[in-house]
Amino acid sequence: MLKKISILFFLLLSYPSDDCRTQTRSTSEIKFKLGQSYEQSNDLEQAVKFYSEAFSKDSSNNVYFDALKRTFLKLKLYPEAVNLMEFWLSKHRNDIGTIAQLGSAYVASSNEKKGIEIWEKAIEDNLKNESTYRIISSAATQSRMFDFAIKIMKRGRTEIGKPGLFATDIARLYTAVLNYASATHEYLDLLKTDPNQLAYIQMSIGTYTERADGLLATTQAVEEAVNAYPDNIQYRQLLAWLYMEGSLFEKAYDVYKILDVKLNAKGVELFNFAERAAREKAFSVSLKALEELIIKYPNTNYTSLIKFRTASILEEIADTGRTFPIFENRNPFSDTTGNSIKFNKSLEIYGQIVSQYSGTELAAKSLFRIGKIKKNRLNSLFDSKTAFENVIDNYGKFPSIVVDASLDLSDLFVAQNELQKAADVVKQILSLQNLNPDVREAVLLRAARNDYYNFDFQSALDKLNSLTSNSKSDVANDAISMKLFISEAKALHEDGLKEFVRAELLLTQRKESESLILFKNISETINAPVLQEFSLMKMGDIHSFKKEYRQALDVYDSLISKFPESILNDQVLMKSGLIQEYGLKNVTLAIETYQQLLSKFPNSIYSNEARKKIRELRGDNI
Amino acid sequence: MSLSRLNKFVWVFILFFNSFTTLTAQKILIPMDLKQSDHLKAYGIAYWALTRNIEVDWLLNYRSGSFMVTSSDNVKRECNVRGVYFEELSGSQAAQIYAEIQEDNNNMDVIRLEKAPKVAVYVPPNFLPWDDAVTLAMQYAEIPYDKVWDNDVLKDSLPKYDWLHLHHEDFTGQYGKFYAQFASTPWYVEQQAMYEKEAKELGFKKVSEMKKAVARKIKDYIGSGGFMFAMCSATDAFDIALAAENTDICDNIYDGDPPDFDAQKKLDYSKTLAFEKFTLERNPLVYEYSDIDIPPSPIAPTIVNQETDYFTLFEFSAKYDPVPTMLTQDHANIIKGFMGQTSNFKKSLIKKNVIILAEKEGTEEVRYIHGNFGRGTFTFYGGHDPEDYQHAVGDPPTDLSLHKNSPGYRLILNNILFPAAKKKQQKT
Repeated sequence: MLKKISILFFLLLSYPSDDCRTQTRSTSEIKFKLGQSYEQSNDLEQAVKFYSEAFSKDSSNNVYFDALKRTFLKLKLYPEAVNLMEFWLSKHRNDIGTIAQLGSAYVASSNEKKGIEIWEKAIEDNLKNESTYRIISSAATQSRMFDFAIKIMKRGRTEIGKPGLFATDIARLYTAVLNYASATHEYLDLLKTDPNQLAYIQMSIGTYTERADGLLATTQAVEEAVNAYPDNIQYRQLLAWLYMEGSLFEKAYDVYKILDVKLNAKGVELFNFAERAAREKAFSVSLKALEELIIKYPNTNYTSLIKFRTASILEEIADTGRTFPIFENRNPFSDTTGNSIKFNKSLEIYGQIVSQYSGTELAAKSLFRIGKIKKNRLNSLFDSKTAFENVIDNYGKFPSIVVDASLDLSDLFVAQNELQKAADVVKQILSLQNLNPDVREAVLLRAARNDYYNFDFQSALDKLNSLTSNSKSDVANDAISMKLFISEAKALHEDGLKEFVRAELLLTQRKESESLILFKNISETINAPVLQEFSLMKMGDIHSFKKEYRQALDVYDSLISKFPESILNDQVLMKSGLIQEYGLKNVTLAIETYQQLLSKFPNSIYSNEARKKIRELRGDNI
Repeated sequence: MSLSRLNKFVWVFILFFNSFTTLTAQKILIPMDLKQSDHLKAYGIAYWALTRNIEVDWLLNYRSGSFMVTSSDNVKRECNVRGVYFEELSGSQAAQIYAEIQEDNNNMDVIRLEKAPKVAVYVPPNFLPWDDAVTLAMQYAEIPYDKVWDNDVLKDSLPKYDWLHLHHEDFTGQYGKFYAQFASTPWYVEQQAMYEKEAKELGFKKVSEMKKAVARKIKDYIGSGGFMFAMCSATDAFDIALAAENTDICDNIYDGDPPDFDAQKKLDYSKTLAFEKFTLERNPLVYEYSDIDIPPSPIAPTIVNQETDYFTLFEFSAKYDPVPTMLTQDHANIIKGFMGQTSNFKKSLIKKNVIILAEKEGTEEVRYIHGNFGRGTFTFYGGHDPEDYQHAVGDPPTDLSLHKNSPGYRLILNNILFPAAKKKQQKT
């Protein structure tokens, strides 16, 4: 059928005489409109028939030609489309759009050679015409012939004599064929001619630097460009960005040093680099940059910030030991000797900030950090107290820092057995208006603890009741455990509970040996299972803190054997496992202990962690 | 003595004398009902046991498809470590359970699992395992798998595997029909470039031709005894590619030339596995392949209500239809729906010889189907991720440790163990 149409079309293809033109036009228009209707209803075979008839009556009509060509191509009637386009081109030699399509039709009909020949001829005939290159390369791109499209555009650039011409188009085509190095070269050429394009180019390159091969190829290309054009600032900016993307911080540092000078940034470039490197945990290079900044710019308006960041990075480096929530957030396996040396440098810089920039927010923050380090890492309670009191007394304009310092100060008073002072500090915080609800709950829990240490159990229970009513609260779990313990122990043996509080207070004050004696006494003499169980666990904990791991295990074992139904037994098994793993470094027994926990208490809150531990220790690939 | 009681007696007798050691040995029952703490890892335990030559029986319909494993400290320990609930049984308790299962009036059966199936997943080389429910399920259940891609399939590497999984790969050469939304995104551009390069290297002029050849190879693999499981759009796209063997259905934007005008007419439904008489979605910008998917992807989110979107598993006779029974083992028979590029299959377009395993009651929407082809079988499961109702490109992966008891994910894992089953003589 379609063959017949095409024969009919070429037989009818003759130019009508002048006197019948009017009639012909109206007939051809009707035919064309009929063709359009068929095309719209997707009956392309009928459409091509009417378009052919319309075109045969008026072969100079561009609209008829387009419709017929389009329909031939949709029907994949490539020989017919080629004939039609060649006929049209015999009368409209310079119709570059049709020439481009003719090439495409040849390519689609598997005659790639002829298609390329036509496209190249079109270029030869229009060597200096920019749009010819665009149209032909676009046709080649649509035919998925990317390499040829690139070739055409590059030729255009040479023939027209504009080196940066078609750069983004060529770069995109190179990206499409995964040739990232060449794509980058194109972007670099563009950047050379238009430095304002840096952000756009960074964004374009960013589309392929997520791939490892893309990042590598791009970095190499930009390195070469920087070597070839050492004065090009944008190339260096691009290189620095790429090094950061690839986590090559030392290399990035070298580039930022140069950029800081070349851009006359007075340290801003280097400081930004140091901040980002610190965020990525590249501490040593970050510190190097900060130290250089302090030496080069000792008196800028952000020197205090540089010093504060230096001190906090040094603190982070020194503070490498992990803590175990199950052991009251302490680490019974860490080596604390040498802590004072490790934190010396950061303490020194914090101290400098306090004296040099007194009254500023950074001075307040530095004082708070000094207090924290002295309290938690160096066990230097007096120095710590001085620092926190300094914050509270002199930095009231920074309320959030004051609240944090007050909470720590309250803990310090407890540790120094100054319970009334601890309670006063807490009361003072609670009197503050606009206190964040989460902070208020944390403070209230401390208030309950203070009541507990003062043997005012009912008051403690009242406060805990209000905290447990909000199940979404961060402190709800702690409040519930404390409430259950106090209620049960108080009901069984209130004097025993007081004795327990005394022992616990001693432990809080790090008087571990004295505390141990009291807990031992409770476990042996007080006839209240809950107090005996908790005392045994505390004894095990104290032995752990004193690094007496075998004694700790013995006490934990005795708890399990004396009180097989105790709610503490899963926790005790978890602690025993951790002691085997980290304290005694006995992997086999650690696995065995975690296994015991899983088989005896499959629904324990520690079971997931025990499972994870077993799998880590036996080297499972999960 | 009634026939069923006689049967029970014979069963116990045979077990007792012919498998004395097995019977007297203690057993571990891994229940798969609501008592199970981690249904998904339970499949991993069964697989793990098979790799260590430990006997595993799949107790179809007994406590929602439980597993019976020969007892040992190792098995118990592994269950504990993986958080899988189990019960220890004496030899006589186990025998009682076997006898109960064999009773004629109980719709239950025992399937002995023989060997750990070797699993392959058809995914591109740069694939990350968080956008595909099956690889997520296997990773979580700790079932090992190999990745295969076009090159491997065309070079005949499939026969090495018992089981092949397809997820949302597009066999029609239209790059998932993501063009309208994602044509300019880096991943789409990169994917198209990679596929075109690969097609050229493998000697194909177009990606669609390569993909169709891959679909035919997979079909041959099934015909020779392979098991295939497909999810989401790999289901309909696979069948469409087979039907379009002799025609071009890809528009210009996908392969550089227009589709065949009469592509619809040229579809050959005799080549497909599951679907027939479907109509192609010819608009290249519409995110849908054909009318097999119901409701169509572009409008599904506006007309389907997540709260009421549930599908129902059919019940089969365990003793007479063990295969569909295996595939539908679950602790829930009404399962919450989930969307994908292909969510459901239109019932009227499913071939008559295909078994429907689950559907949305009272509608044309079929969710889960199974059929035989040659010596192998295929199973199609609509939707993308059973625990992420409307999974979109770029969404974070589903954390299966939060969905340990997912009935929807269980259906995937039934398919993984199904090739491990020892073939039984069919009851007549």
